[in-house]
Amino acid sequence: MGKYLLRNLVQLILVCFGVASLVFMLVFISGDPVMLMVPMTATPEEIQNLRVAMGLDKPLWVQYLMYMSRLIRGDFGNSIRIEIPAIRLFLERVPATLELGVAGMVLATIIGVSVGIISAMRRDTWIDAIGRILALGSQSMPVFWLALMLIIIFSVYLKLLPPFGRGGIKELIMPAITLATYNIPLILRLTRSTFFDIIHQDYIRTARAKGLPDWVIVYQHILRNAAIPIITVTGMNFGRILGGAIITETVFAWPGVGLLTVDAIFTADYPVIMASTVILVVSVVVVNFLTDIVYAILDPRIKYG
Amino acid sequence: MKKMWKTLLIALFLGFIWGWLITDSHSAPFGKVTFVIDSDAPTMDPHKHAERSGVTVNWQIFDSIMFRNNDMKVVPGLAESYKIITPTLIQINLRKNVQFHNGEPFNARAVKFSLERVLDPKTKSPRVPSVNWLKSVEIVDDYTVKLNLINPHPLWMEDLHNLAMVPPKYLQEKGDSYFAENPVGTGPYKFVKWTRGQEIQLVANPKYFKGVPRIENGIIKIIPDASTKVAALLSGAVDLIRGVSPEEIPVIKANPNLRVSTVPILRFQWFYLSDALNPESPLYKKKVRQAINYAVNVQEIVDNIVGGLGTPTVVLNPMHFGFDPAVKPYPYDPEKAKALLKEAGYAQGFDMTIHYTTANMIKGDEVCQAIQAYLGRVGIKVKLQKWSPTGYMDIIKGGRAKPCFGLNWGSFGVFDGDAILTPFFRSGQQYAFFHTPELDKIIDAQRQEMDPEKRKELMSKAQQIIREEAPWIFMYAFKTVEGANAKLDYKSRSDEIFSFYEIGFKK
Repeated sequence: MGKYLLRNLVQLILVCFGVASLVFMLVFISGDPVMLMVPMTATPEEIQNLRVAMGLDKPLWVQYLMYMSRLIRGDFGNSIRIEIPAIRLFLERVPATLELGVAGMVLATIIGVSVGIISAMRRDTWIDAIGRILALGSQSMPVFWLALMLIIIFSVYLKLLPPFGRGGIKELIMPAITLATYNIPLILRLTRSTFFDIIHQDYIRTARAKGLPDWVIVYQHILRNAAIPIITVTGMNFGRILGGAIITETVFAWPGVGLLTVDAIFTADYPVIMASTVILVVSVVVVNFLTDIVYAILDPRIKYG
Repeated sequence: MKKMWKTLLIALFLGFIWGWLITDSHSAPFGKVTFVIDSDAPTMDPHKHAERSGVTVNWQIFDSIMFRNNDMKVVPGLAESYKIITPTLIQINLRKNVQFHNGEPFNARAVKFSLERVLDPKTKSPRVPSVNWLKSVEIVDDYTVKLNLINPHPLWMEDLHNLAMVPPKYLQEKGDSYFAENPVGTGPYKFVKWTRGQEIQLVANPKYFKGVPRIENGIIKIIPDASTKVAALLSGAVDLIRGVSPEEIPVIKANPNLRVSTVPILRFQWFYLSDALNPESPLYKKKVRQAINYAVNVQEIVDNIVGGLGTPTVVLNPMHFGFDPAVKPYPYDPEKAKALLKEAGYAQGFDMTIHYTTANMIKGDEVCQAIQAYLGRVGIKVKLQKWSPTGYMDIIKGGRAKPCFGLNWGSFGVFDGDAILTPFFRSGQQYAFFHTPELDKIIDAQRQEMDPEKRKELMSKAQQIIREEAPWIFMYAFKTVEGANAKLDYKSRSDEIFSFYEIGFKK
């Protein structure tokens, strides 16, 4: 187990380093932020002064070394638009995205798992059909379209929920539903098929033969066995959630890291783009690593040599 | 018993508030107005950015020496009066009894400090071009300053109206980074709270020198998505939105609680024939450039694609000082275009790439496709090359946007033809892809001419020359559409400046 963890940890660090380098290269190929910051009437000297002041005149490799050494200290530099550390801008937005991400993930898991179980238990009935339609529907629905429909129905016509922004539970409902919908189909179908496989195992037949009630079988025998693939998918889904959050946050004006990243891209705010990309990738890698550990704890049969 | 006390106290408190409201209802600010911007302000420091969203926030909190009034004229603001002693020496008399929100007095020292702060390279201010004509600022007494200019500069009032006055003592004590998040100005609203990416809260400044504001709480919300913005207005969550697209106008109009207003703005669109001075290019020939202008039906584009939200125009925006209405847009005449092409030796037409970005445009892709179709009819095969707004100016500056690129320009709120003539037609400027010695002379002359009438004549001459030379595909000036709560009493402005101070509720 220890050896396995160590190996994964080294890999994790290599991936992070690679991503950091890649992001640096991509960002510096795409344009010149100084030109976005000065009015059109600025003279070449004024432009050059600003460039020197921001360190953008140095050779690329010097900029790269500066960037990497700072990165190791968790310093992505100041935002180009504002003299505030990019990392601080990013961290300010983390709670909003976490709130939305957790709400969306919990909602998706609850709906996906429970509908999946019911579908599997009542296979080929009308209940199963509804479950499958739900999965297909939420998979095919564009996120931004669903979001706008929710806003039009619940804010414009029914006037029940605020159309945008972050605040209390009321503001959270529509973004969380939107984000969850994006992730329900995967969980639902996986639960359904896993359950279905397990139902036909010998030990379930034995349990049934013993005369155990349905709910005991579901909770004690099936769910624990089905949990492993579901947890894996939920863990892997973390990246998807972050991706979905960018659209959801933009439509609902939810002040999270997704919105920050989009803003930074439109204004070519390189340090912020780098900070959010690097940190998001690292967090996905870390979550996958943690998922592996949970995996090992849940299933004692899995041994890592 | 305890509960009774509580109730009694609340009743007393409410009674007090009620009494205060009815006795003071004429002068005290009340109510809340929510305005929407598309993206967050970069910083609250007015000297450290040049972005529209930030400018919108700044002008609630800060004032400048000059103001632009609702008729778009520049008039003294924090200045009481001014005197042009010589063309390079201007005396400004300041208003007395103006205070910053922290109680610090506004005086000559604050003016000197603010202007020098922008000029100081250490500030890294992108606002430098608004003051780079200034040699020095001299304090005469507490409420009088003298500005020494490098050259005569007729646009000094326009430029000064763009520069906020900041409190010297506060900035020196707290530092720039604190100021960037806790701004203090002399403006009609005081800063309360900024939740980045979400909202900015402001409250009326009861000591404002022009009088107490009518609205007590000004809220600026950040909504990046255009559809959400409209939905927010329809649901009543916000009171005022900008930049409504033509297809959403009927939706807002259908709601009895809302109203729509259309206002012309300073921003306008053109396509620069950036190879006009390259002898190898077909565009080198004046007849070809004129033919292109005859071939494109700008009025039809405005009416059918942009939804009427534009006005065909030639060199300047009709609202620029110096605009000459006698310089008319090219009429649509494809036959003449073909004839001109034939005379120039291009009867078979030629290939041309148009570079563009859709930033700020209504239906930018469709407009460019229409131009492609019009030019195709006279034999010019156009290839469209779309760029992202990020770095587009870089491509233009690097000379890569050739032989033609689309651009729209808001003149940085300067209502003067020089805002176009110098950057785009004066040789030596990085965006001047067409210039002639004669044009250079005229542009330089108007830039230092202090007599407005003579300036107008010079600018009119420049417009005639540019129309004749046709280095642009002349397009149209923009209009913007605002959607608002019908209860609000306010007037839309052409300079895209929005102020809570100008707003009240209808009685």
